[in-house]
Amino acid sequence: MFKKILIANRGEIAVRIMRACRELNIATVAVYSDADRAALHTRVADEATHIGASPPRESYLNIEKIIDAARATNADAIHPGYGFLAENAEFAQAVNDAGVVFIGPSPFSIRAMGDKAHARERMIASRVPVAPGFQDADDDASLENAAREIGYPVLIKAAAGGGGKAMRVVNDARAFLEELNAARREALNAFGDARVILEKYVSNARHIEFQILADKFGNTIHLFERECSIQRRHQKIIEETPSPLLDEALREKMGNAAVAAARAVNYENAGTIEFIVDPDTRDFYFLEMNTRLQVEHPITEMTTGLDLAQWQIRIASGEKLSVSSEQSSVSSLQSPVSIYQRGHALECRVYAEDPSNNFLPSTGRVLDLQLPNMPGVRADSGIATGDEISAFYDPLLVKLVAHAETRDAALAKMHSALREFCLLGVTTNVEFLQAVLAHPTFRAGDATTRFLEEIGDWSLETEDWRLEQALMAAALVEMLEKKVASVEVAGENDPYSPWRTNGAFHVGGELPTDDERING
Amino acid sequence: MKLVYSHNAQTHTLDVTRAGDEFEITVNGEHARVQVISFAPPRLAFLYNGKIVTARVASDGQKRWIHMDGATLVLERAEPNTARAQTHGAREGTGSGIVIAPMPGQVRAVLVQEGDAVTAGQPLALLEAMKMELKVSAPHDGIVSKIYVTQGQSVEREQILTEVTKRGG
Repeated sequence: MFKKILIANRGEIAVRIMRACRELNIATVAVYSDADRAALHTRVADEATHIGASPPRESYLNIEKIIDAARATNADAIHPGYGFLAENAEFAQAVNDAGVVFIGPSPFSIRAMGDKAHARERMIASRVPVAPGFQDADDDASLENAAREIGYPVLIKAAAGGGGKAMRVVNDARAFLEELNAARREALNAFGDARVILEKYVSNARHIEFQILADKFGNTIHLFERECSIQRRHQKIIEETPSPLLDEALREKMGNAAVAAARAVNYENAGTIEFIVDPDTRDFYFLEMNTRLQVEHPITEMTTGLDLAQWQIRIASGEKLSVSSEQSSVSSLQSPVSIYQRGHALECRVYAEDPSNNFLPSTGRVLDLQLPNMPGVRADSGIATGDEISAFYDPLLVKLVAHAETRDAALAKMHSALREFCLLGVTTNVEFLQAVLAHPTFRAGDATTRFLEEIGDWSLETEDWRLEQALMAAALVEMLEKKVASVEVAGENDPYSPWRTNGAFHVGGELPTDDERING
Repeated sequence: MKLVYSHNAQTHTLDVTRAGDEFEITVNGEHARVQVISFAPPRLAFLYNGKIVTARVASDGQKRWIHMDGATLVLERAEPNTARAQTHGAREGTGSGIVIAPMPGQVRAVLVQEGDAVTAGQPLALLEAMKMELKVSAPHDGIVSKIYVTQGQSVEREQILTEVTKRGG
């Protein structure tokens, strides 16, 4: 097993991986940029190394600096988290070349899945269902012909792409060439590669993905599905497992396809096969593979009871999965654990964004943070009171996860958790999340990937009573703080004095500890 | 004590006085008596209409953040006499050709120069925040009369980026 792991990431995922390391008795190294000098992940780690300026290009995306940091701290493995360099084959190669273990798949697997045209070819060869499409040539005439044969609407995707960039839906033949050229320009800008592929556009689709675990010995299993249909601008917002759409037969078919897809690229470690499912025909198509740990992995952990971050580390260190013929168990060599889905889990992503300002990013200082604490609720947070939320990084602040016996019970639990959650100082989407959970379409389990867009207007009203009481609260604080100021000298005896508590109020830049954050 | 707050561009006037161990609060002309049960920042609890109201509160400059029963409100404290003028000045800038940042972030690129003629909807600058790119466009046809920001600079939400003067105006 590894002695020390460097986590080449920040925020909640860095903290989450460090905790997994601690439980495995492995020391941790954080890397941080200028903006993250005092960030939570640097405080949770055993040691922390500065790697550059705040823009990601100069720090978290700088391969050389991260490898230097691993060498300087004698780390024997690097965990990339998600985002940043997690799906960068050059990084994985450079880590290997430096004699350090990359906790993730081989550079070959990352490349094979990163190129959409090659991935499609491989999937077809492995009989994994792909949407009707075209990836054989890149000239205008061939593509235009192929689009006609596939039938509109057609999706143009960057071959080198991902994350929804340079992706265009074309509804009829007349617009095709114009959209093709626009997609090529965007692809060239974003990925330095203008090649595109075509796919049939499934307009009322569900996004359902399968978690994969694969060891170094050719054992590949899936850990069931996650449904992630609640998205905006290709950004997932709410995920759940099991999917309300799947029955046992379809689950098994998709699970087998996912395992075949992973095997097609000799996949090793944790990964996710994303599918598009047409809810009317129940046909499913390979969308892409994410060759890393997924943001929404906790819902799989809640329902299977497995710790995926720990399994990533264990697999990378050479541990073997034991797989029965029905592929229903994993084990460390000592103790087999059978795998099944227990209950229902939901994840809500708390983003630093303003629903009343077109969901654009919001920034600020965290003045107060209260995470829900109740049975069956998990909060993966990368922030603490006093932290500055800058515009440099991902808007994901906290992941709230609720696990209960049934979907309805998990929904009720999530509502309760969101009500208890409090973050002051930075505008978040928490009330919007409540509104989505309460929507009849979502409650019925019928939401497609276009659901948020179709509703369109998610504006939230402030109830009169709430505004009135909030105004009273503000006025009272003004009066009470005035009183504190006027009795400053005798402050010790004042029952209202903020100095009497150890809440979010702190003196001289002293930062709250992790324990205070969790409890407070 | 007279207090004025704005919330979603609406102003609210309050008057608070201490009356023994209670407070008398007038909110938009309506009187109420409340009793503070505890104030241990960020926690506040008070008795109002026979019910205990609990909140978490924090302030940041003129902003008052208040979390109650699953929702967070942001109130902006204002001086009683200047409240109206302030809210109007900032929000209605677009009509005068002042172009503001719709979100905080970094200026990725300034796409025009002072003196350039632009048409409505033409991109003026590119902002980036949290991996998201946003084009900021001209509100109307005109001349770029002033640019206030440079590439690479960080900006706050509603910070002025450029001014586009209407021709002949």
